[in-house]
Amino acid sequence: MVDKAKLTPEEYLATILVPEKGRETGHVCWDCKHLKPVLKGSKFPPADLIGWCTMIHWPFYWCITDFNVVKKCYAMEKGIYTPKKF
Amino acid sequence: MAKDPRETRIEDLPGPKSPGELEEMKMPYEEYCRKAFDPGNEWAKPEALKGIRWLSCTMYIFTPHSAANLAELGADVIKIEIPRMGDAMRHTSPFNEAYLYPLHDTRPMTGTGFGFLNANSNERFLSMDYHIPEMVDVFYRLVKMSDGLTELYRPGTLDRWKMSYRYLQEMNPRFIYVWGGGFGYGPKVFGGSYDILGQAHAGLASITGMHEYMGGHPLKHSNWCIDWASGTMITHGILAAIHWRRKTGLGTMIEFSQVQTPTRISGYTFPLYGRFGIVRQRWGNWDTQLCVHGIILCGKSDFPDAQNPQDKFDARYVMVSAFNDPDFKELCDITGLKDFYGRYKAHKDRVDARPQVEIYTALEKWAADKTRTQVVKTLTDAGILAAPVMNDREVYECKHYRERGTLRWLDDPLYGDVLVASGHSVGMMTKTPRRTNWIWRPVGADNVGIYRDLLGIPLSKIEEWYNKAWI
Repeated sequence: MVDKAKLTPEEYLATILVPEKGRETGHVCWDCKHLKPVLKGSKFPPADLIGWCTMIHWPFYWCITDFNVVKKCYAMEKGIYTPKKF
Repeated sequence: MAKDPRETRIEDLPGPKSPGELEEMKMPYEEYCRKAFDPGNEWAKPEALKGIRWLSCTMYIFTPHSAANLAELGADVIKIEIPRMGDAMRHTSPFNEAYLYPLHDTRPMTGTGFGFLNANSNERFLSMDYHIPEMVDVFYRLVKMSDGLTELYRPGTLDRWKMSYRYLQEMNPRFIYVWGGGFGYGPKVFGGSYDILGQAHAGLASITGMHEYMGGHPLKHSNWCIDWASGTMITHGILAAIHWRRKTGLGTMIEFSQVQTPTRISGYTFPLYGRFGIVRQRWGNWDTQLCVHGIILCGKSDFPDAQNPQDKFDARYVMVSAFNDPDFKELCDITGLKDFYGRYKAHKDRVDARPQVEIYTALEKWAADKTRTQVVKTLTDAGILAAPVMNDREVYECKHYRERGTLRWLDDPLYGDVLVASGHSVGMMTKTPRRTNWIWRPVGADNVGIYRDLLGIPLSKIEEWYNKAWI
């Protein structure tokens, strides 16, 4: 167990906001700080989304589908959103 | 006169003889409008919907407003309320502040709250408990002599009582029946509705307010704007149904789900999502399609010494619109932000979200040492569209609204002077203008007028019903 007091706010959020899907989906978005994932147990939206990109159409959010795998992205910015780490 | 009387020469006809003469004879447009619309003298003109009789079995704002629209256009609207209690909206008033008395003969110490205002004007007020089997027949008699009805009970309730469209159209095939409520048939059929639910459920609240990244949250509009808008949309449906009935002789059932109104007015939101999977987000006082086109904060108040915080602190907001290139150039020139014009010459460059943050921040910085009036004057003098964000007092004092009669004092026959804003949601009309005759009446105020004069029921019977609290 990590020491929660030492986590940055983003890292802390990643420990409590557990996403429904993860790296097995193959999206580079899991390393991107602009991803806002669909949370575990969400009944809605439909499960074919991994989450939303909050950057490429900012201020709007773009739905990232499970089946259309994002391999590279101009807005990719290395983040700490790596929930599986904890 | 021409030799041949069958020949028509333009010089023999009355009126202008040339385009030039026509122009000369025309009065200025402004003057023409004043004369044609003549606000304040609506009562000298006919009413468009005179002859239409409508029943309103409604409560709150949404469905009552659909019938009040008809009443303000001249229809005879009969509002049917619970005996001695009335519409639930009568018992609400902002912060419990102001009531107009009495509510009913038996309840002189209870009044009708201001929340009821504008949604029930010009109507006649009947009380009837149509759960009582004897009263159902009276209700049917009213249906036979009316053009339509608006009701708001849970879906299927009036069907259970044998008072729904399926039953009423057999008595009166020309009957137009409106159900207005939360969701209508479908998975959420039993969900009730309020304005706030409409705003929340239909996605409107989620796109109102500041962006998440600016610390914003979904906002509801302070006023029940979706109730008012939905009521007006029902009225459109009713007018279309009346037109259809003129052609076919047949009535219609209108089933109006309130949550569809905020969805309908959400603009590009759903097409954008459908086509590209982009979820629209809030963008506060700025605009997602146009830039500059938003509300900015000035540094100084117009009323620094005022006691009222709405005057003291809120008199600092200015709406400014300078999105096309020449206007934006002018705006950059007068505000000293010339480099912005250099960087964002094309609208597609500046309408992007990041430049918007930069531009509005710079504009607010420019306005930091100015009052609202100074900013508005500077911008309008430069030919840019700008207006102060006014509070209700300022709207009341605004000459424009007074001259057009948008806001006016009504001498209500029962309650005296009331400042009303009703009567203009169809705009100004030259021939059959909308009007407000009275704001409301006590519960059951027109019982005798309707039960006796319209239905021919003897006074003794009416008294008996009254004593039993059936009416």
